Amino acid sequence: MTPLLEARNVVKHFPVRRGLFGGSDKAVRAVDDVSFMIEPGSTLGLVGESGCGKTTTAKLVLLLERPTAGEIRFDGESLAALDAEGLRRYRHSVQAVFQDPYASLNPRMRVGAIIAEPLVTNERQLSSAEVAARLQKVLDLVGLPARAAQLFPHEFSGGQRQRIAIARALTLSPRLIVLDEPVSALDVSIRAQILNLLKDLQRELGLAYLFIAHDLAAVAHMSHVIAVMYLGRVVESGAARTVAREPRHPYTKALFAAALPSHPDDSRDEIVLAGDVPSPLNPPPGCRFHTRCPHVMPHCSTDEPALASVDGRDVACHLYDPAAVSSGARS
Amino acid sequence: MATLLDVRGLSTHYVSARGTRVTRAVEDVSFALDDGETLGIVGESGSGKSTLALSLLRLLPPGARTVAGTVRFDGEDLMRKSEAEMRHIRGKRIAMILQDPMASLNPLFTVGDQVAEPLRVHEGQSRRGAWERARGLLGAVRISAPDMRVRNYPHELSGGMRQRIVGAIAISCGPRLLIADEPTTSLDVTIQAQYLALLRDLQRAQRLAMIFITHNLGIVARMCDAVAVMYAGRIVESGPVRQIFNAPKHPYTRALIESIPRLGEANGRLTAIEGQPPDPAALPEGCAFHPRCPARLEKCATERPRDSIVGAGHRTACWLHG
Repeated sequence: MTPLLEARNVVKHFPVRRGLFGGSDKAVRAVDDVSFMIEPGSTLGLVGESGCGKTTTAKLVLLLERPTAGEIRFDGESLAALDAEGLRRYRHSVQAVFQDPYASLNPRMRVGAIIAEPLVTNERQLSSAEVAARLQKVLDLVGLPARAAQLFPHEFSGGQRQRIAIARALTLSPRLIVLDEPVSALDVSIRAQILNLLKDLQRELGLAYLFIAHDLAAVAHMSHVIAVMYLGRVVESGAARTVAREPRHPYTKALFAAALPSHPDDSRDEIVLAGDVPSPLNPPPGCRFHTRCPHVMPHCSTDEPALASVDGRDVACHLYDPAAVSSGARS
Repeated sequence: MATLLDVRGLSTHYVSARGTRVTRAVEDVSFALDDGETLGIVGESGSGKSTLALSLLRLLPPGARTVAGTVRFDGEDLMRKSEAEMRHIRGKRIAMILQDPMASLNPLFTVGDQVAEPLRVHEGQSRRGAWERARGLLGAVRISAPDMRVRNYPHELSGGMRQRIVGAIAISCGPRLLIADEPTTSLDVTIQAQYLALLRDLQRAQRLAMIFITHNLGIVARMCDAVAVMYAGRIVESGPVRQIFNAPKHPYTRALIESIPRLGEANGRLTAIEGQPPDPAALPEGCAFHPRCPARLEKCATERPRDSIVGAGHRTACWLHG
């Protein structure tokens, strides 16, 4: 099966200007040689801390940014090679739902107009009856009553607003939805409603998701595949359950160990990392994690490890180099 | 162990400018905290948990008033203290950490000045002595190179470091009680773990009692001895953490625990709580949770349930157990 979306060695650097006429000799290496695949109807979860490049990755997928190098392929076609009509079709197929449903809905528009807007602007040949029918269908899908269309966003709670944002994303019948922290602004008791809704929609409509969140348990719950990013690189990726249950990269281990327990008796090994995430303006040489790694070895600061298959998932870490494994450095 | 804080029947209301609308943000809240104990107060937005914290320190915004109840801290009723006496208690005997470290720190003063300030105000230390202590405190909150960092301004530090500075200010005068209102919400996962570990070590070293105000049951599971669950201004269930996680009695507590995805568990459906939290200005009759409750009885819609004891130190306000 061809993947729905494939990122191949994607790089995105943002040049930094010094002074008024200064050259852009430095760059923020937000995304640095990242590859991943999203299969039709499945979810890729992207996790990592601030500055790891997950939001830049989402922007690249949404064509809000163009890659500095590498390519993104959708349905086997490179986005860089698409003509205007191809790009139009791509933008129909890929939609987004963002974190803050208070900021992402126009307060002066009625909910019906907000949800129907993508149809009105993109499918001008549709009659108003067809638009109304489509509006009714997506309201149904997200569990909002028909009269919601007549109201304004401020008349809804956070959870309901997120349903409106999801409905708007669904109007053009997309195949992939980018979900950037879709529940972190919601109350705890509402999050489960929205996560359940997203799962139901995926099953009914065969949607693929790129799910970005810092809540690891939510990502593990929603995703089929997880990719863990650190300073613009993927350090570990594989089946969600494999990565969440038996992380191999020291950063993934620390990240999952740092996740809060769901019960006081959940005694995971606590790995408290020292220090902060270094600046992506000047990432450490070698393995970017070596400055905080509890298992750091001398060559970690000079040789950058490549992703390699370890125990059924990909890990970029020298601990799993064949030489290191045989000498028993692996823990 | 001695009781450090004893809150009885505390009610704080917000009154609109014309006095026509009353929001009962905190209503008839009672709990107690021992020396060195950690209590988690859990609730969603609008449950009154932050208003409760501000009521304890008498830092309420204009328009809010504590209309009933006593707050006994170390045997003294804080509600009867004068404003001048309260100023001696805040920051010295009871410290507070807020969610956003950038909003708690003054951008125009160096870190050293800000950590030294409470020492100079409360303990009358000299500038030189207070700065010396400030360096030690930065070391205590695990800031590397404290000699250099005291001269930094807040914008020169990362979010995690700023929140540690706020922690250093909080513990500077050796308080007995630390109230932390969502202290790690703005931090990344690994930085959050660092900060929680730091707070726990400080607590052990100084025998601090702590109140964690949070919406996150995971923080309660990791940090707290006891928990009080708030819904619509009232404590609906309280007790020892393990007991509440193992056998929650109130349907809201149970639903809250079950609605959270667990790491490494099969990914089926989550138990969602239908509907949304009520508007605190227009609470439902009877039990405020009844419109969303999967186990509601007929009288839940008309009569408010009273607190009943359901185990050792474990109370709940629910007709299923009334």
